[in-house]
Amino acid sequence: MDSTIATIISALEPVFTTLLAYPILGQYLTPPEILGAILILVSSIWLGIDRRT
Amino acid sequence: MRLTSGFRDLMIASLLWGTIGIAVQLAYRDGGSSYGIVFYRSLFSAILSIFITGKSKLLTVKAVALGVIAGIFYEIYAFTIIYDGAPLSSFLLYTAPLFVSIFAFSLFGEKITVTKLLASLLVVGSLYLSYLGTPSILQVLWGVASGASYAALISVSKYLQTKQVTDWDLVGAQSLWSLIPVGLAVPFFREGLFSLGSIWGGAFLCIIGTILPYYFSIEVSG
Repeated sequence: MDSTIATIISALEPVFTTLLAYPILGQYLTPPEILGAILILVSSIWLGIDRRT
Repeated sequence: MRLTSGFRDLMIASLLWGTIGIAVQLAYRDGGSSYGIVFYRSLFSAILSIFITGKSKLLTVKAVALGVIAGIFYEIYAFTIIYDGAPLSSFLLYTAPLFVSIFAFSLFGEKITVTKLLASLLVVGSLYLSYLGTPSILQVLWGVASGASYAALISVSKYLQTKQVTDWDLVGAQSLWSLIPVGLAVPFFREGLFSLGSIWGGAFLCIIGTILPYYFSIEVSG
């Protein structure tokens, strides 16, 4: 996989951190954080789509 | 519509990395410090690397160079977390894709495309939504230095793969030789170094935050 695309997909890390922080640490997501998480997820999936098929 | 095979592995790696922020906050509650956790992460990873990587593969200039880059990244990021705070340091760390584009083009001619640049900027903008503040110039510089050193680690790892260095050798080299820059900084960051939080936090980051996810991510980028 292209190294830039791999690095962009790995930006899901802070998204997972904020998702895990809710059940483990009781920290809630703010509306801007929810929007940011959705944008990162969408851009990662967009780059992760196999366009050869 | 199908996702590439590497996407799943990177999701797993990102999930494992995502536990780092949680573990670090819990380790802080036990007296841990950013630098202390980084120190034990490198120490435990170095010990493990001797078992997972052949000694001859670790004693090369390439292996030492990669490890030193990894150690510099760990240290800059640990300091940035202290100086910038967690939300700002996390958002600026992900300026890394922009630097990866430049480094990967310079080292092995990987194409820079509009799609990649737009996606990189989208990630930075999205993470800014978690911060929504106005940082000082020094805070930005430290954050960007984290992103650039992280990008250097990723790009040099991929470059070495093109030179027939295997995945586990990369993980081993990073783990062992990162101890040099991290160890040299001990006199400057003693606070919390010998706490229970730093030790268990470092052990957690060694296994869950270093060995396992780097294996998944390195395998994908090869």
